[in-house]
Amino acid sequence: MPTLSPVETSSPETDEALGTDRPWVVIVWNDPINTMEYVALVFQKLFGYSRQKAELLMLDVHEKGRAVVSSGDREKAELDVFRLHEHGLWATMQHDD
Amino acid sequence: MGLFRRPNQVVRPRRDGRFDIVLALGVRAAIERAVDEVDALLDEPDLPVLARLRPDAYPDDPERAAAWQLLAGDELRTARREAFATVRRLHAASTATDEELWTWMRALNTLRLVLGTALGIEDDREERPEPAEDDPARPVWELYQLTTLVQFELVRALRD
Repeated sequence: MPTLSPVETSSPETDEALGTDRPWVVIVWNDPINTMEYVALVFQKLFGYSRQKAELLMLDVHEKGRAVVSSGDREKAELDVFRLHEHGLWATMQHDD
Repeated sequence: MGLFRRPNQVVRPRRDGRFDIVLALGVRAAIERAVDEVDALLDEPDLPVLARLRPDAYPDDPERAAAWQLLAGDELRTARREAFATVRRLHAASTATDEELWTWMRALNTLRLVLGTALGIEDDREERPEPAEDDPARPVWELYQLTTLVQFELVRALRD
């Protein structure tokens, strides 16, 4: 099978084009199915957090309904959201206000 | 029902860092049936029972949310299918690596999300009564309990 040469797609994203670089935050929301133990372990694995930090973060999600679990530029936030979704967690991203 | 016993052990750590798979055969068969059923459902991503498998990444931005679903939706489905394939393989194997345990655990979580949604679980603070033996939801509930227990054993193996 021939190798396809990469297609040039130039469609600058609005916020980058405007030069705004407010960081994105990744939020995990409480849900009634994922277990607390599993969620904490996923935080440890995906973000390299210590068990203690991961469990505190998980408790935040559980008690307050949501917690910011990571932040960064849009690309990093999207990757984090994807990996969280892959693990079945309810994650969203938004600009840090 | 003999099937629904606590699976005392799912895996056992070895000296070489791998894990022996000691999951009961009946449990493997039950989980495999669920894997096959959910795998087939993945072709219809709009089914309400799959809603928890693809949350919105951008709740405040419908345009980006749609683009996200388009891009990530396929990738997520592929990742889930690969994880299911790993489960089928591990069910026939005697040992697993750390990474394989992670994939296995992730696949069980996919099952739990679908089964839990099918059961209408909406509130984690509410004690849910166990469905009666003749309740049509009973088999789904039993499978949900089973996948929860097996997943918890894998969490413990990977964490402790």
